[in-house]
Amino acid sequence: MRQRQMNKRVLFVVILFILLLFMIPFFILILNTFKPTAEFTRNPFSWPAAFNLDNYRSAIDTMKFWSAFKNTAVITVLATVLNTLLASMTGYFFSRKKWRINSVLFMLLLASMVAPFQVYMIPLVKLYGGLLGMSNRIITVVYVAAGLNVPFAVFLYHGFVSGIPRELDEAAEIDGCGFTRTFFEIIFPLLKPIMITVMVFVALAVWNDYLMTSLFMTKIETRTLAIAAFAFLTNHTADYSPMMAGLVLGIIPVLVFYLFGQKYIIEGVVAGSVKG
Amino acid sequence: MNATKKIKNLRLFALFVVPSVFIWMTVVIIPLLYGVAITFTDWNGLSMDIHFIGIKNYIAVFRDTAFLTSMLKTVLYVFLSVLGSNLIAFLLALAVTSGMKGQSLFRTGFFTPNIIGGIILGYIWNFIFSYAITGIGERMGIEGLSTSMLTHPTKALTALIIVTIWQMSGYLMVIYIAGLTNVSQELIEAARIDGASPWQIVRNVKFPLIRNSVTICIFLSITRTFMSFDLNLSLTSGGPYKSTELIAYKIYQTAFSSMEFGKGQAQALVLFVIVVTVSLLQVYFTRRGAVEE
Repeated sequence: MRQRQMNKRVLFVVILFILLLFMIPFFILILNTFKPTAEFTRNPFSWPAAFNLDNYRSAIDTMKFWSAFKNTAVITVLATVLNTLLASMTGYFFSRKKWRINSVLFMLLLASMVAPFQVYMIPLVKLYGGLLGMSNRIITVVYVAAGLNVPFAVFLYHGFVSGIPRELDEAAEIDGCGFTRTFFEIIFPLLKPIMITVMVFVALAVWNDYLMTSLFMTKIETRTLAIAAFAFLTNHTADYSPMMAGLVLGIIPVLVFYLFGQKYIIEGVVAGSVKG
Repeated sequence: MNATKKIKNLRLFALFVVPSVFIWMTVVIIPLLYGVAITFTDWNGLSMDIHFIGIKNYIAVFRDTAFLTSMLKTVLYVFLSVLGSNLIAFLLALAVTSGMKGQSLFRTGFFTPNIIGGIILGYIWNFIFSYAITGIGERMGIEGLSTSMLTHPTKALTALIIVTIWQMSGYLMVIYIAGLTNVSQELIEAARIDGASPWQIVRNVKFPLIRNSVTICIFLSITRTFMSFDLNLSLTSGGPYKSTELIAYKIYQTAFSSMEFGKGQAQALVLFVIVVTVSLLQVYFTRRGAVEE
């Protein structure tokens, strides 16, 4: 028994060491954001001679951080809310009304998750950007992002609602609640746990998306953080330190989000993986 | 069913189902069908002068050596990344669920790279490979490390694989942990009393019982690595000399840099068929012989 306790302690230290190694890229990155570029290229591992925030100031200016932050936040909030509202309604409906059309639609939704984004990326851009002339509008990205996440969200809401006893609906009905009122007043509040998981997961995907958003948002004013970081790092080739500060600025918002929502993010990964 | 009931049901369907299905149809299904149609034309995305050219785009895809090379590299990249990340994730999950303290700390820590977008991660590693590792090489006088891996064709692909494994292991580990926590503690205890070694417990008790998690993790990692784009763009941009153009990046280049939409779309559909085939085969083979729970 003693021996096993000992082994566990050794294992703990080993894993902790691996975790520290694993995190090294982040440490190096942050350390160097406080140095001027010359100091960084001379020695990327040295402790900064003085902690100054010039790199951050310069990065905020060049990548138009606040404008990009605002765009990203607006897109993320709107897409997540729209997605959850519509998908929770559909998930509930599919779970309660076992019509043939519902199960067919549900199967199609799930099947469509296998298709890689690249398969419909080109026509998507041609239709919305080209044909409808909807490029550089927040609403376009909100609409597309909400739509891309419909299958995943409907799947999770459907699964969760199926675990809520039907007797609850029936009791509400006897009390004179219609189907719609039953959903919004009785069921909707009960969805809270799964709702947090879905919203956190969708929000993270929308916040970090580069490929889809970059195909629509081509102007400086409509850039999101991922696009701003990309543009910043491809346009300025010699001054590395502000670039690294730009990367940290791109990370800070999600890190704050992760601090509060990590439990739900990890739950979302597990819940979403059950589909296999 | 009487008429009023029918109308009522129709109204409910319109309210609860139509909005979400409409968005999904217009964003996924219509572009998908439209995309299939494009591949049979010579459209360049701009002119209205479109001609039906049959399967010429597909023939061109399979005759294009650049595409085939890119496909081959992608397969190698997928294979090594999937193998490496699943192995590491499984071992980490085993260690973390062995009853040690700090399980949630480790889970949170190793998962961190997955909350950050691929573009930013790629640039962070770009700095690591270009300056930090070369810095170590110069300081310690190690010849092999003093030039950046990213300037060498095969080493750049290795770099891409390393970063992918680094990112994905934490994600897969979360799923493996969930699987391992479900394995009954009594079963493990029973095996231990019968004198099974820790390795035998892993092989003969834990592994068969989390077969589902294994199937899911391999499925997820295959589909994700086949579509890898962000990292490819920010870490290597396909270079040096187009040596690390993975398939998703190649499709993007064909469509949006060379403006060959028909051809790019045909490449995308070929990718689609390959991904579906590989993942179905994988699920079939890992499921076969699984223990019924």
